[in-house]
Amino acid sequence: MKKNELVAVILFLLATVGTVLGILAFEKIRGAQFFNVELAARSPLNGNWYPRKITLPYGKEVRIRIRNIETVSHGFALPDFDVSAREIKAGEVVVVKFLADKKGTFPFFCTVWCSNEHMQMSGELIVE
Amino acid sequence: MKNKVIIITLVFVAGFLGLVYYAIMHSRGIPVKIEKIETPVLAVPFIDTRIDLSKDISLNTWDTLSGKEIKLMYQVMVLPWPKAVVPSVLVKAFRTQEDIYFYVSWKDDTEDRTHAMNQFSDACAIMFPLGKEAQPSSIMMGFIGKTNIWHWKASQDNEYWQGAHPKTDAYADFYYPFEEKELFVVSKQTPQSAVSDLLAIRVGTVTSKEANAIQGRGFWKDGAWNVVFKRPLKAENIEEDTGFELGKKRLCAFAAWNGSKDDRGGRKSISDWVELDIK
Amino acid sequence: MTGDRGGGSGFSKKLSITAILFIVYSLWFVANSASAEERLIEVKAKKFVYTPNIIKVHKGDTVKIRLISEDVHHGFYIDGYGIKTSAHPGQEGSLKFTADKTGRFSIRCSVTCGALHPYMIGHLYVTPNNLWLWGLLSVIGLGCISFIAASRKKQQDEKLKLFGIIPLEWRFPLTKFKPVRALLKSRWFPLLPIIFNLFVFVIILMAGFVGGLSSGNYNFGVMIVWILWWVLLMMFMVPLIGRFWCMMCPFPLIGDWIQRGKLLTVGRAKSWGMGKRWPNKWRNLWPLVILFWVSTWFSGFFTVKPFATFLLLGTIILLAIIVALFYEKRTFCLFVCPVSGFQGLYSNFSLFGVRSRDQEVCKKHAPKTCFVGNEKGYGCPWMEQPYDMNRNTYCGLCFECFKTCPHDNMDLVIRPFGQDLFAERKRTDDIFNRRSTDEAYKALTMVGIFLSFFVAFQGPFGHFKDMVTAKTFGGYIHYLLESFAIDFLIIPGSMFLFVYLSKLASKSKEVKLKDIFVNFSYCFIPVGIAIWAAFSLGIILPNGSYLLHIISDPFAWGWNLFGTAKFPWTPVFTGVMPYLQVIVTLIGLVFALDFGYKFSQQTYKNVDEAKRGWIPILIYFVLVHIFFIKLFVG
Repeated sequence: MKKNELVAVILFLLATVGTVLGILAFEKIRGAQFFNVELAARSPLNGNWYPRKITLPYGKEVRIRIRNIETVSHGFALPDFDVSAREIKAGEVVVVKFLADKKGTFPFFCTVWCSNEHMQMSGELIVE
Repeated sequence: MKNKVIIITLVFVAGFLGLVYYAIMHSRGIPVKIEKIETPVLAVPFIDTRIDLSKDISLNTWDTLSGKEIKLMYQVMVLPWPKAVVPSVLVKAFRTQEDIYFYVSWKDDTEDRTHAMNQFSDACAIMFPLGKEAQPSSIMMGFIGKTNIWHWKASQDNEYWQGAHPKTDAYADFYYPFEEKELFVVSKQTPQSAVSDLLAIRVGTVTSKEANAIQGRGFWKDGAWNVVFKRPLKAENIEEDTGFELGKKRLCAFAAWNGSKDDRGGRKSISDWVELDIK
Repeated sequence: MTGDRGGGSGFSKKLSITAILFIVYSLWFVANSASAEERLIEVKAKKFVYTPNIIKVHKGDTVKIRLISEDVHHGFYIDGYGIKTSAHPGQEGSLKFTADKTGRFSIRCSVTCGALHPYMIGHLYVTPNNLWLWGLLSVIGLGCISFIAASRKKQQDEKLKLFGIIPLEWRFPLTKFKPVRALLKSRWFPLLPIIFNLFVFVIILMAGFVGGLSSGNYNFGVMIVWILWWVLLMMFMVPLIGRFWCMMCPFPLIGDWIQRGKLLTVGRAKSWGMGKRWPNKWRNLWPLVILFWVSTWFSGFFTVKPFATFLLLGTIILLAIIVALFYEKRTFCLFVCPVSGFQGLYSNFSLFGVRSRDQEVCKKHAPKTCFVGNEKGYGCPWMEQPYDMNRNTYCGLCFECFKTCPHDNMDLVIRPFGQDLFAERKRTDDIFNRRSTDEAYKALTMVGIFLSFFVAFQGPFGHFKDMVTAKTFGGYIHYLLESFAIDFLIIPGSMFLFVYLSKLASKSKEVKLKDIFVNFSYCFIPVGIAIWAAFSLGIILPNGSYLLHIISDPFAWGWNLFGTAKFPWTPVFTGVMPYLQVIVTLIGLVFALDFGYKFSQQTYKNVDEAKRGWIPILIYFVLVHIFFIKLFVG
């Protein structure tokens, strides 16, 4: 009887705490494999890009995971490296890759009309 | 018993409320301070003078005004993008009894006044949204409202003021929206002015107007362009011409093309809205 | 109206009905013949409405749609035709097609454009709308059949039979089969399904927590609860297997654990905690009628915003724990859980039930361990009396009574639809056995809530969507007031009017209006199930494809667990959907008419009164169903 109860409690803990920890661990491990920079797309009134300034080391391959955490489409363009993600729909996640072979400050923008403040939706990528 | 029950209840409630609070704070991602968007305001004072563009652009008059440095950004809403950006333009404006004058200046290493195959002219433009309530989206060349664009081109400036003739073998006149669909006009009429007066309802619908009341002239000196636009204050046709109401504010935006970096058509640097305060 | 005229008049009735139908159809056909045209329609799309939101064309027309977006990227997909286009702001979309299919088709936005994107709908009518006509005629036809069948009755039925064929008291015990019996007697059942659901709910809560205000259609929480679970509940679980969701619901698990001290095995018989008894004046369905209605105030939020789903579910779970700490046993499930009310009531229709097998065995058995518990299990947590139960409305299928009965006398039975609706009322002082206004109001308010949900979420009206999402405070208050008026006043009021007519027609003196009202309201149980099932079709068929996305990427973190993360939005069977909705609605009417006459017999004293009293109610349900058919396809 006691053993059964213990099994039940363990199952309960696995289903609750275990699930949460498992999900977080999986995300961490997967993340390290797929991208090394995180970027969230938001309309300017909801906070604009996060982070708005990204600092990267010179010479390394950059993989940016862009998540659209809103309900409208956004886009991503980094003209100085000729990198873009055409339309990132709501809830979509894309990864853009490029080599940080130039030093300096480069702007990136949203390319899809997402809100009335769309023109202010921009950020800076700094390579040093 | 009662105390134990109440404590447990409070623990659960507090835990839940804590989660709710955290979730609310992060409901739009990691909270940041939302910067207030400031529209730069350019004063358009009254100066009782007159500039004759056939003579010069009167830099002395312009030096009395401080103007505003307007930041430009890559045009990325439609392909193709420019390869490099013109970082900013210095803009000044004033009005007289009859006319309104704009001054646009930006740094450019080379003076590109010819327009030929694979050789592009420097240019700049001012865009005004038409209609009572200018929507923010009309910065996309008019979308849902119309916009009036005053487009000055160094090559057109040459043709008009110097009487230079366009090369007849191939004349490239690049318009929106995509590179592959750009038009090549073989023959061309002598321009009425150095500035084209254009209407756009959205990207891809730029059309020239019949009449052209806008004059303009530009000079390149010491690695910078200085361009002046001039037009009568009163709009001939309120549907198609920008109206300037004294004592009122209205929006405009700026664009610049650097020919030596292959800028033309959609390859340009653009600004966000600027507010004109017409005194 | 009354009197037995025999078979001859029955035939002439049939002849006149056929003649009327023929004339109606011919007029319809003539009215709707027109030559085919070319039409150019400019449609403006804005969050979350099309302008024009209703487009009418004729069959054979060549239709060209020019789509203009007024704010963000919108799409335009036509049900049934399966064609689509989209427009960015500043760039038009266009669509050209020949309107060769007739009927009413929903236009849906095919690009996520904001919170209410899945509910951005327009209507395209291609006349003649034959389905509407056939639906209308079918409703009238069914009404006529019921009228004829009722007028043929010469005496009260001794034994109630479903459609006159299946005896309503028939039952088949599933517990005949050893594996079923073993399963129900094991303490691991239903604990294991509950723990599995707990696992799913943890993911749902986590998805709601991290989802914040992002897009609901790409969020595991919002999609699993409001698309999968709700549809399964309304279309399969409740009408067929009764309260099986209650059996595997994880909400009371923590409360049970605290009360009992043990998760799986048998611990204390008396609940830990304050163990209070729910006050008598609330020992009915009224708290749930109100609570469920209140939860619908927020439907514009929790169906579209992940955080709101988290808030709603979290609050319910918190309430479940707190009520379990203060009150005895499953007080929460019986009197506080918003889902419980309609589940219990609608389960009266279902095929599954729990009954004691041999009443004699129970009579001799003392103490009744199914009620007080023993070392094998707990006394009924739902505070039912399993030895005596003839109605499963308040039984949550936890199967404790199967575990505690030393004589193995409990059965899980399959029975005909609606058996519980006619169960004899034994005691009147107890919620379990009363037929009363609270249950009647639950059945009625569910219809009103369906109406608001359908019109707001599956209709083409932008201002209703604005109202339910509280775009303006005034609009939101307006929605609450309208919702109250429709749910509590207008629909019950309309029923009451025909109930009054029923009493007049029956010429009965003794029967109370309240009893007539309550009894006939139970017809809204099969009707309610049918219209909610039809509503659910409108959720799952267009939007079911989102489920493939969210099982691969539950948190919108770029995962792809099963390879289906990039699965595009794909509506399925939207062409036949209106036909299915009409069929389902008609099935509801069929049951309502069959049950309704039986209720009439139970209400009135003799067969003549029952027949006369039935007519106004029959007419009421025919009118109500004409309205429903118009809602779905007209």
